[in-house]
Amino acid sequence: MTADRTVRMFGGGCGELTPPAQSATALEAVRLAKRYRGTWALRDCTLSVPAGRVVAFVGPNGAGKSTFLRLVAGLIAPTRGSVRVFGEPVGQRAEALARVAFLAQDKPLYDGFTVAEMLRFGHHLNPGWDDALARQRLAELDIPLNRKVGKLSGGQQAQVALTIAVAKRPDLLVMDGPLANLDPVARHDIMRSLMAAVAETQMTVVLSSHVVSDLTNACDWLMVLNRGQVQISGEVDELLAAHRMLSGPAELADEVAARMPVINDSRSGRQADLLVHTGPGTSLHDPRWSASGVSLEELVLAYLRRPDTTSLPRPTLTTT
Amino acid sequence: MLWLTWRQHRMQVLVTTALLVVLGVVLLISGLGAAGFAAQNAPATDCVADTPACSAYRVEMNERIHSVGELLGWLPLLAPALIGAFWGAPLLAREFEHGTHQLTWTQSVTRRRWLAAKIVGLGAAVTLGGLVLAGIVEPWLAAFDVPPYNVDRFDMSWFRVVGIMPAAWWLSAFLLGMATGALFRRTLPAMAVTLGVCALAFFGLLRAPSSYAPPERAVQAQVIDELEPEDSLYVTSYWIDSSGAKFTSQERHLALAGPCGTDETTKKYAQCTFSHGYRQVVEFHPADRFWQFQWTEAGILLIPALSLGGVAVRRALRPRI
Repeated sequence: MTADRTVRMFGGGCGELTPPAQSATALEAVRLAKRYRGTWALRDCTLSVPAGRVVAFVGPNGAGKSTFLRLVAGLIAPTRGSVRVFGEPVGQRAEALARVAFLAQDKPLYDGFTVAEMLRFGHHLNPGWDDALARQRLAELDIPLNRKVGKLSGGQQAQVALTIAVAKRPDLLVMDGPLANLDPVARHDIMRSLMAAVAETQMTVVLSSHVVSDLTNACDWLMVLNRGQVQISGEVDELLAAHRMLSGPAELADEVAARMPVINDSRSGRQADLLVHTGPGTSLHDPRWSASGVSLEELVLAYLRRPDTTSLPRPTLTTT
Repeated sequence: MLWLTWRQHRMQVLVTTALLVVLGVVLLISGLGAAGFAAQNAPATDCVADTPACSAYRVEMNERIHSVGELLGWLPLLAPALIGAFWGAPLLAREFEHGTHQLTWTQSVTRRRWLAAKIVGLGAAVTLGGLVLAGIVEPWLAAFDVPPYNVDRFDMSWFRVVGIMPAAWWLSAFLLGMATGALFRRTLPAMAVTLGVCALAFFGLLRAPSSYAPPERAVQAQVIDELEPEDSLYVTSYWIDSSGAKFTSQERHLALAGPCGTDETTKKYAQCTFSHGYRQVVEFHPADRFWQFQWTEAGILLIPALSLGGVAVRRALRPRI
């Protein structure tokens, strides 16, 4: 039913429209929905991510992040709607599969294979395999090629899995909780080597986590999924610029709330702290209020506490 | 893809090959021994009259063939069950169990091609293994087939270790194992069910070949020892009276107790019953039905196995869970 029209959205959370020609769309979901045995894991997700971004995909446990990412990777098929990677549905075509790399939650590898055999696996199954890149990465990480994968530490296994995903030379790298079950040092190392790979290959990356702080420094795009629905999708800088923490007298809070959307409202006695979404042109020139910026973490938390609030770019409907 | 299939399943391939080699060596030694014995001791006569030399030769050959044959008798039950459990069941179940299908199915090869390569590669290996088994058993049997000792490969003792039977059983068991693995998604239950179904199939089909075609019927015209031609598959025998009505041997025994006495083992008794109009009837399948029966059983096994495999594979590969 949506086959003959495309819903396209660009730009940041404040609703500005970036011209479509500026960059290709890496990931586009249109009314994407997935149902498992009667329960909807994902409902009506519509979003798009421009190419070249590093996307922090956050949401509480059970929000449907894994389902969404598995749909993107083509491991499962949507119940409704569609998801496209670089304009093409992933799934059962080798060319489409070659553009996306997927790192599943438990970072599955063949435990009985040596690291070298895992590279051979990647080499045999991917026409675009970059063996030199893989070997160089593993050498830098001091991971012995002749060691069995099952004998490596959790952090090393994650690095091998990431290496295989990167050496595939994908245009989109999808990672489902790559930092889960890793110690802080390993988390740091994984993020650092991921960022090095991104800088080198210009690929688009989507990585999910339920810990926002893991991703704040690395990502320039934020996607928040809550209860199976997209709550935020936008460029991090624009999102931060569009939200303000306002502090002022509690008796005036309702007046402010009437003028702009309040994401979080905490009042204590005569003092009110409002996290508001300030659209373009809606600024507050009242000396009784002081405005300060918000951190990404505060922003995400505020939205997650209010599941019915969304900050999505305004969709432009192009009917053809 | 061929490398991956080999790397993941080389243990099964190597163990099966090693077992076939061991069996080959055992059969070679036994066969050479039998051939040597037969060359030296086979009586020159055709042994219609049972001389001591004839029976001594028969007894010795029988002992030699059965010492190894007993071992071989377990193969039609054990080999398919093990092939199904160790080649077939883990093929998909292990991937699902360890989540590695998420790794493999997101490489640049479609899951359909990946599985096709595995099924074709391993299916061909299993079929080849079955043919090799028959290929080493048949010369061994031939070494014993020195008159007056007769080895009949239509005999149910050998029917499932010769011709295409091992290949058909092995391939069906492999497909069954793969299908249960795809349906259960866990290795151990899939292996257990595969073992169970293989055992059921074995015992269910144990005596089935007699009914793969209507048997031929031979009626006694004179008193002779054996009615059915050599190398045929015996089905049943019974007695009829002069009017053609069927008699059990017990009824005949009672009816003839007066004129012929009760000692049924003598030739005289047989001649007496014959002169009273009784005839023995034997139902059998002639030797030239051997291949027809081999292919019939292969069909009985492979058609359900292929259908089940097809259904399971479609279900497993559907982008669902």
